[in-house]
Amino acid sequence: MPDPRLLLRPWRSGAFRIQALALLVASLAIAAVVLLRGELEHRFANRTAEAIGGDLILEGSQPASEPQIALLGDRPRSAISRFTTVLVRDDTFVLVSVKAVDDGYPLFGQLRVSERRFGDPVAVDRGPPAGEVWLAGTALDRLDQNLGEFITVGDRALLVSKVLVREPDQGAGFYSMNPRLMMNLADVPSTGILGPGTRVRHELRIAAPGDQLTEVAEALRPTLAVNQEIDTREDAGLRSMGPLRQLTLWGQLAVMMVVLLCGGAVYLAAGVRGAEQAGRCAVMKTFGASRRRILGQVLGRELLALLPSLLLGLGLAALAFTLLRRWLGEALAWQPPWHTWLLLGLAPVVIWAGFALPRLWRLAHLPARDILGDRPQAPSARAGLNLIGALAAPVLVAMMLSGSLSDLGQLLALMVAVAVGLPLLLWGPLRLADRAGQRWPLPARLALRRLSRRPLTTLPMLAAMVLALSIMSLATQVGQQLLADWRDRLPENAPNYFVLNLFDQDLDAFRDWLDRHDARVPGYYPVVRGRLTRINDEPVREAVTKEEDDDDQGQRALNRDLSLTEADTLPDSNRTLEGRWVGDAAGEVSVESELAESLGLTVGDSLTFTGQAGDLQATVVGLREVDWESFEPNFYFMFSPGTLDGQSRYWLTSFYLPENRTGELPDLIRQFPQITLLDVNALLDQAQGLIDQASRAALALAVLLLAASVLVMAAAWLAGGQQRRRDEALLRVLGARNRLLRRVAVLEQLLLLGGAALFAHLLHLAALVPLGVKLFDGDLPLSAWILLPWVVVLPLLALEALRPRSQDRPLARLAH
Amino acid sequence: MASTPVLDARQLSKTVPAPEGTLTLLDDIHLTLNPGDSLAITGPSGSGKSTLLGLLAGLDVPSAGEVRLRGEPFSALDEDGRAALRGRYCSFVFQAFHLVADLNALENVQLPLEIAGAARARERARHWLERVGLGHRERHFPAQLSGGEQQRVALARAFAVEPDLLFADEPTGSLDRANGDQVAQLLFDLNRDHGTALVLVTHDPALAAHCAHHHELVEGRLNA
Repeated sequence: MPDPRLLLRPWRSGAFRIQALALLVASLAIAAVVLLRGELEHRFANRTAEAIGGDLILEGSQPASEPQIALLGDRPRSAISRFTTVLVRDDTFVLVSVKAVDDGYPLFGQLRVSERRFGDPVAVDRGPPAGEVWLAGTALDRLDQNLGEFITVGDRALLVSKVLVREPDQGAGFYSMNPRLMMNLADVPSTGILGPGTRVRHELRIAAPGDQLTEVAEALRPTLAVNQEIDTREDAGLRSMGPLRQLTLWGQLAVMMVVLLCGGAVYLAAGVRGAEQAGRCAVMKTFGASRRRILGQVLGRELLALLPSLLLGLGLAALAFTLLRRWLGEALAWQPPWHTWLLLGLAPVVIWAGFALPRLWRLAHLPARDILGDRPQAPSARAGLNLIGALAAPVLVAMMLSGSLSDLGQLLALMVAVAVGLPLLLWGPLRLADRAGQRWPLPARLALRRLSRRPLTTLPMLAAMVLALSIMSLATQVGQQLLADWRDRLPENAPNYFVLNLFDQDLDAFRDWLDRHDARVPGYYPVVRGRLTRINDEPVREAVTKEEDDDDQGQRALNRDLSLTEADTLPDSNRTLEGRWVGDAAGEVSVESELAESLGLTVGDSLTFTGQAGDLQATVVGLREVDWESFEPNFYFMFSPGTLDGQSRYWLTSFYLPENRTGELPDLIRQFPQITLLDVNALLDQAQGLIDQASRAALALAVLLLAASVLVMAAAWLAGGQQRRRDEALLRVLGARNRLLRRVAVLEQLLLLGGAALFAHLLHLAALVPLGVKLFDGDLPLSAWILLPWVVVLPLLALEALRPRSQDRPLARLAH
Repeated sequence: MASTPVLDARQLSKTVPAPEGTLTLLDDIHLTLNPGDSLAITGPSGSGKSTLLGLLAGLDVPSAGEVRLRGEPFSALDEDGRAALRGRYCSFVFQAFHLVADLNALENVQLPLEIAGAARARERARHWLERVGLGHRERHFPAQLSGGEQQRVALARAFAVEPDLLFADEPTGSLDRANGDQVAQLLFDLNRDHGTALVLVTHDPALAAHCAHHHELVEGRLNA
């Protein structure tokens, strides 16, 4: 066990402290991102499972068989049946979507019910008991039904006991046209509704956390009947939700940049540290110490002394992780496995090994005479190899953290290209500057020579600073852009109610009501139900594909009635990708781009739809990208005004009403009893909460990036410190005054930092397009954030200008 | 009228605080050097030779006493003033050469001329590089020169400003015998040709013997 005082000694060195701090930041960043990603993935797996009702769903037109159920053992599960039926009360008929559930429902999450229409919802863990039904508010409104009264479902009278406000497995399916009726599965036979030929879907929802999912799916797959299929949480696409996808990508990008920057700081500081250790190594060599012993003492002690900062970084990340969990506030929190902690602990060691080890290792191989004799060491070709070797460290870290390079391949390629290519690119301008500076005044020339005549020191330092500054400005711009993007997507007054089944005769009065109640309405859309039947006069099935693929978006669109609309302006949440928006003349249609691709539609194609009042035809004039997460009404097919004339239609709209005014909604329902009012407040809260969390995470990453950038600067300054002090001492001996020394120092920093800032601008400009494509599905506009490096550079220059010159005896400094 | 001494040091002493009390490094040093004079200061390690050199060149401040260069006292000047006075009259040659690593041979010689604001600095630097036999190496950097060549560049740098006084601190200490002899010869030739006063700090009795005067520094005091 080494003497603890020996482990404290390295902390007296500024270079060691910078190394320790850089490794702490890297350790913190890596751990934070890995833990955050793990937690988010875990939560999303849970949330996805909740949204689809189970980790795995065995679905079919027949219930699961006894052998299938036996295969599941005592695994938690829930059986439900879904079908539609008509409720009748007096002269009113309402088509409802029935969900019959057993006592195991819901498997995940909670139901929300209320004791009265628009009453405060309460959470419950079970569905309705036998003999009771719960009805959605819209069904109650349309039927003029009260709680506590009976309603006939098929052959059976059941008690309406609660208003069904929200189902945990509602997912994004709030567009369901028919209001929900929930009943107990045990009551279904007595209703007599289900018989041969009835359209019914039976689901067996199964809990299979973590890796058990694959195991259960594999066990069930051979037993599937023709009518059955398996859906899993991994198949569901919630993970691709915009902000989360962007945050994950941004997180990976940011953490790799933090690693690279911290590595740069460690690399530069290790050079200084090596010089500090050189004398000791030389003396040890002189007295016959073997290389192994020297390396053991120098490197072993160095690494041991660094351990506290590595552990502190990990500890801080663990603390942040705990706080994050408390903040996210869910009971089902992720428990990182032991090997994750091991990898997190090893990651900063790998960074140190990649960036610092080669420089310290070299000490054991330098002749003692060179070191003790203070013989100036000729630039070694090994220095360049060190740099390339150091690049392997982040690659290794990426592999350790993601398990593969496939996710980060492009990113790493870019990083390596920048880290190797940038010094090479900067070499040309540095050579040019050296030539151009021959006629410069003495202070500028001396400042330039300090940089231009030490390319092996200057270029990596300059490259690290260019990277640090450009990443800082890019990180800030991207972070701000992400926040703005997310806020735009879900503004505070995003529509929280959707209205369907609003008819022509009620439209004006409805509009008046919303105006009187200060409701914000993005727009009104006429909706016609129709089915796409012909493409370019060819029957649609033949025109599209011969291969059946039920997962295909186009196939799904062909198999059902679609909501068709017409509009004179392109909605804000849509963007024309190809062709144009529809004109004033009837007979034009704009198609959602992904569906168009799936159906093989191009601009100029002629489409025929079959609506309730006959066929309608339109020509495709443009393809649109639709932001489906915008919480605004969105459509696959949008027609030019007048195209849908003659078809029976209703209106669809959405509006924002502050929560404190929801008490006025019963009045709306009373006045327009036929409308379907969908409350999406809960979904909106959930999405806004997610965006809020993602925003904070992005901000935290930007702060870590900034810290890493500042560390690179500090390391770079420190790296040149000894030489700078010796040069100043020599100039002083030769008769230079303070003013000259100050000018040289400021000009040197101006050339270095200013040059770095200018190249950072270029790199920032070059990265706008690829980053825009990767993170924003488009360009990233040029913004004033590009000037951010100067916010760091100018104060540093001012500090250098004001820094008191050392009053040490110049001869003493020359002697060191 | 007698000319003003190049260097005049009187009652010079230097003390520093130490754990066991005040430590006297130099005590009551008197020195006078006229133009063209050469003085060797020898003494064992730790006797205070380098400290004395620092005080004589105005690179350090004495605890007591006075140093005058061409009659101008260092004590009346601030740090910048001392640097200017030094730049006007003095030059240095060091054991470890102390060339600026980022400047080539020509630029190193040019450096003190430019600091002093001398005209035609480049031409003069080139001339002095020729004088020390390194005209053909003017674009070489210190790391590309041998130890002897580096010291010759340092000599060219020292004489380029045509100083009244040259301080040489173990100028041959880092060189082998052949290179040491060559550099020493050059040093004394230039000293003689240009009438430069020389203060030479050395361990080498043979080198010290080339000087007109010789003092030995023992425990902080000069013995003639």
